[in-house]
Amino acid sequence: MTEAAPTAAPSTVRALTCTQCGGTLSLRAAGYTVSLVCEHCGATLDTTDPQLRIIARATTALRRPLIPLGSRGVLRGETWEVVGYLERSDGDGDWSEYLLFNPYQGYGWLIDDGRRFSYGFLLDRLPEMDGTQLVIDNGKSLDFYSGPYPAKVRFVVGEFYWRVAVGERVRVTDYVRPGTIVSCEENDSERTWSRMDLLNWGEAERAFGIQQRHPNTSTPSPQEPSPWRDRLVESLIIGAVAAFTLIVIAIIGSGSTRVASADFEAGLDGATRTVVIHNIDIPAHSSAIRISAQSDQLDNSWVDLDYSLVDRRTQQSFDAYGLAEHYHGSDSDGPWSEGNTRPDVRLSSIPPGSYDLVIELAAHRWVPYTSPDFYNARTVDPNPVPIPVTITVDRGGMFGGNVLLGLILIAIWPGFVFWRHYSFEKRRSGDLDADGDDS
Amino acid sequence: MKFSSIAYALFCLLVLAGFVQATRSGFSPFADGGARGMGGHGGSSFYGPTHK
Amino acid sequence: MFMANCPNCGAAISFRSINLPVRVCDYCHSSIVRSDAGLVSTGKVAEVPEDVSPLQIGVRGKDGAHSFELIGRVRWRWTDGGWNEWLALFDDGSTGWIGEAMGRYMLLREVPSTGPGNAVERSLREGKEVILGTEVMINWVKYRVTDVKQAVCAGSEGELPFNTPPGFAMPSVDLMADDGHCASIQKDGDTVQVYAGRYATLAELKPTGLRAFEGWPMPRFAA
Repeated sequence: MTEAAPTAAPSTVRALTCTQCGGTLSLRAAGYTVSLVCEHCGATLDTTDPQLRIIARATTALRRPLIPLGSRGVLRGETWEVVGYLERSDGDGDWSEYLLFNPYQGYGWLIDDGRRFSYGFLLDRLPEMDGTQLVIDNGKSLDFYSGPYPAKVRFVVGEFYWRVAVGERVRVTDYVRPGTIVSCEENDSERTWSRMDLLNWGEAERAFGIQQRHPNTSTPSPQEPSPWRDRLVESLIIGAVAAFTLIVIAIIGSGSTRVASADFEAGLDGATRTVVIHNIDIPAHSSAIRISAQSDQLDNSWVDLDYSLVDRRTQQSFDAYGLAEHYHGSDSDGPWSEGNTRPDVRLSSIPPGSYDLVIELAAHRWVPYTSPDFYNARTVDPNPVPIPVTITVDRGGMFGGNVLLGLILIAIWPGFVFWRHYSFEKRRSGDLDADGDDS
Repeated sequence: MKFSSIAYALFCLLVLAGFVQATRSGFSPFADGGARGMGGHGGSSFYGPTHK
Repeated sequence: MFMANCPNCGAAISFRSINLPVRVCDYCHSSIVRSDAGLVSTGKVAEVPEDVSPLQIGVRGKDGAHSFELIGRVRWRWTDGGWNEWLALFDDGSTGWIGEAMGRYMLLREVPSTGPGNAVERSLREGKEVILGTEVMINWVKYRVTDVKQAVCAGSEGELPFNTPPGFAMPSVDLMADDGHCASIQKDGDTVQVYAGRYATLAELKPTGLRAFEGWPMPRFAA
């Protein structure tokens, strides 16, 4: 049989004395740790040597990590102990990395980019390239983000499973998808792949007992998912359904009924004529009324149409003005013609009742300002040329302006969300032109 | 479902309800006249030929 | 299980395997060799240094459908670190090694040598340098050399297939394939041995009887 097991489970932490300064150190991963950097004097000690030989002395000022060495915390269901800490820089920015250890899980990493914490592991299986995308062993694909860029160790304290040293360099290439970065680090002798998942705001702080950080989106991390994306998808779906419903309602409600139609004549440059269309009925509920005039024989003349829709019982009058016109001529650009001979006038919310439509027609000849007749006083022609005008009245119909207004109102929120999402993504991808405000 | 999306859905419902009501009663702020439209002749609206 | 007395110190020691030649006495750390003349002590071997490995002699586990028990361990060291190799005795009497480094585990079985062997085997046999990145085929899988070390024995315990006298050293070459397969080729004296297998997590080994540590909860995967 094996030796009798100790009656008490041994601790993973062993006390050591620093060879350089005599300070007390803890060795937390005996058998795995290769170099231990003293937290008191910064000397690097060789833990594979029974004499704890000094490999290197401190070259940088000592710093205290935000999460102290030896801190234990539970991250996503696993207990971890902080055994090492290093700070690295890529020339533009700095970040911190905590080496986490659990005797049953091996090693993990907690990465702090100054804003967000990520939880990282070395990959056992090499990722594969699928076109321009990287695919890792859970089937997810990532897009190239940046690199290769150099990363250098600027500060180190605690214990590590490789011969860590300040100034150690690697070339890094990053691949991202929302919530995850996969990094490839290589130096002359080896290449390692690691995967880092973004932790939620507050997750690492609660696990290791440090101060909570407040969410902000001013400088998103490369793998940070857009906080606007879910809202954008939902608002687009709701907006599309609403817009579709609006258009269906518009189509259904766009029918109109012909109520009256009559032909009249106006006298060209003659006296104003007043005509009436009787008994225009609006039953039940208030409606829109469309008055269409058609005077296709107009030529270089126009007809003023003054409409009054008068309620026969209350004598309340709804007034509107229409203009049928047509002109043509020739100038330096060639022949031209313009004018609308079929004007529509639309009245809204006419209350139910029985109405008479009173129309005052006045047709006039058009005299160009270049003509000598322009400044002459107009005289009424006692025998005017008749200008035929057909008036039709329809009840109902759809106002295009209503539909457009409805669609614009529906589009306001998705438009706003899209703008916020787009400017977030521009900041995340490192574009400096985008807005810098917080959400 | 985010809270803002629920609020937006209610807003869309209001817009649609308003649209349905306007269609039923023939209302529009874009009309040339009528009980609630703009226009009416004289005063603010244009009168007369539109060509020089 | 076969019980006997240590020829050096008289303590009771057990043998689980039928044909492994070496047993390190748990009490006096002498290396006991099984021979036709019976059990012979061939001198003391280094004790395994203290570490925080969760494995220990007696841990049972599974490689897929095959069950094993850890019956021996050799600790190797090189200039920049060390690792454990645990001898696993399978239920059918065969053995394999579980290499443990940096919290990762390599399940390795011996690949019988045929003829002159692959490029790495030949280099080792001839005493030539092995180049990083050299590609070889083992059991129809392509491997690349990722590590070449001179490994020195830093201690041993339990039942072993070879003797580990003080200062025992051997060249050791690590290889990796793209799909999680790994291999190790070593030169023990004049014989070159090839081991191949795959990386596994501690959870995948379905271990029971893991070492307990104060303040560390046993993981969910360990019975």
